[in-house]
Amino acid sequence: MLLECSNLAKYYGRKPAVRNISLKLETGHVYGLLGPNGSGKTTWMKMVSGLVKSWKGSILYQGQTLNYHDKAEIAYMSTEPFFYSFMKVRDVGTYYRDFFDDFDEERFGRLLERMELDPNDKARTLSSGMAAKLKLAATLARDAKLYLLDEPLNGIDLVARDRIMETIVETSAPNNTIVMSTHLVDEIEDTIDGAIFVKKGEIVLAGSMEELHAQYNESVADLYRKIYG
Amino acid sequence: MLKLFKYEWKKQMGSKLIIGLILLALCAFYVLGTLLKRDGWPEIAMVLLVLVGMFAAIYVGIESLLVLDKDVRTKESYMLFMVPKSAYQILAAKILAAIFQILLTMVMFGVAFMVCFTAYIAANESLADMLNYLREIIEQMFEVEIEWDKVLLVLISMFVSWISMIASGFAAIISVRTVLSRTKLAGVLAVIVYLLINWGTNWLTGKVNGLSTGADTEMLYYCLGLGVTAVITVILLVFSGWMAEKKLSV
Repeated sequence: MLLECSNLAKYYGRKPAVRNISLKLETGHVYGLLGPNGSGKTTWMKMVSGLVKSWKGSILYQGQTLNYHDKAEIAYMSTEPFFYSFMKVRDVGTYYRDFFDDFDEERFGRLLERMELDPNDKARTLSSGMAAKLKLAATLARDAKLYLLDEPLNGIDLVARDRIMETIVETSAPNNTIVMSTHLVDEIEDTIDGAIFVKKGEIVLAGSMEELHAQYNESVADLYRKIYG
Repeated sequence: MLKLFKYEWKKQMGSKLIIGLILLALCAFYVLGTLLKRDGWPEIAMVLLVLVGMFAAIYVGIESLLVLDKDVRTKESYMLFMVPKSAYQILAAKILAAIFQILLTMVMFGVAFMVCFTAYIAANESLADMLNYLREIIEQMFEVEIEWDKVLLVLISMFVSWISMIASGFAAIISVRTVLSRTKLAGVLAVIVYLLINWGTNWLTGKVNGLSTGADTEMLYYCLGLGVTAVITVILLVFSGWMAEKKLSV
């Protein structure tokens, strides 16, 4: 078991962001974390990546309580741009190389080319679409055990989305796990092999694609419409 | 930790560049005014240098607090807290960067004043006069009885007090952002908590010093206050690290 969350909860003031989430992730899978905005997907991802502390519950990573060392194996990509304002595109690669042993500079270079990013551009002056590509390039250039991609297709045009999904599929391997949060279900349905539906901070449905199909005989997109419609 | 230090250093370099450029302009103004014998230029430049120096001392002194506040308030916090480093290492790197930034600023001002001093001597006195002037200064320095141990103590005291101020600021920012992360008033509350921590520190130092009224020497009295401040500083830093590690959400 790569990751095990038990009864996770996080409140902002009195407002619950995540309530009682229990979840197990295994190595070698691509999971879709599905739900509308505000359903708790981002908070859960931030808790697993150590950015947000839970109010209750536990997170076990490879059988041990999650701690800061595990960040060396967990690659989190936030939905918002987060690079330092003084950085150029190439500085982002240097930063990742400085802190993550699993960062592959050559792969980062190739991903920049594929995403048509200029290493000399200032990170803060990039358009939202280009900034999203930069986040992905930096994150996917790592050889992490767990990738947490928060809305990887947000702000990306239709043509570039295909390229990004190709890159994510390329990154997927038997020794890693990818979790993608999104509300663009149609875009990822062919890529994921497990789906987790989150509503108001709770998991309302989860399973492998085979299980869900066998049980409901519906596509993930149809299930999504049924749950959130 | 050196890598963390490298990026903390970079975050604060923008202000040093601005200070450096201002110093360069003021030095040029002073030197030109002195060499060209323009009335008023050197005086204006010197007054501005002193004013910039005062402002820079205050700003650079608290810049690490402003950077930490930005680090926990904005999305840039992800950059800092997604790396596999403990919060204690992150705070240590911040303090180290703050110390070196202060030293860099002092060196910049030292160089600026040396340049102005050299221009003044060059314009107003001959080389022989300048050497005499230097000799007089050196002689005066050795004639005056300087108690180096007291000078050292004052310098250490200033350093510890400043680090204590930074530690209070870290504790205030991290605790307020931990408890009230989404409140718009968090910045104001952090200032209030900071003032309260400082008041508490001074009160405690005063109490402990009160116990040593029978102390034989002034030095012992001074050292005791310094020791208390140092202990409180360490406690505040450990508390800040623990809060950031276990409770802070960014």
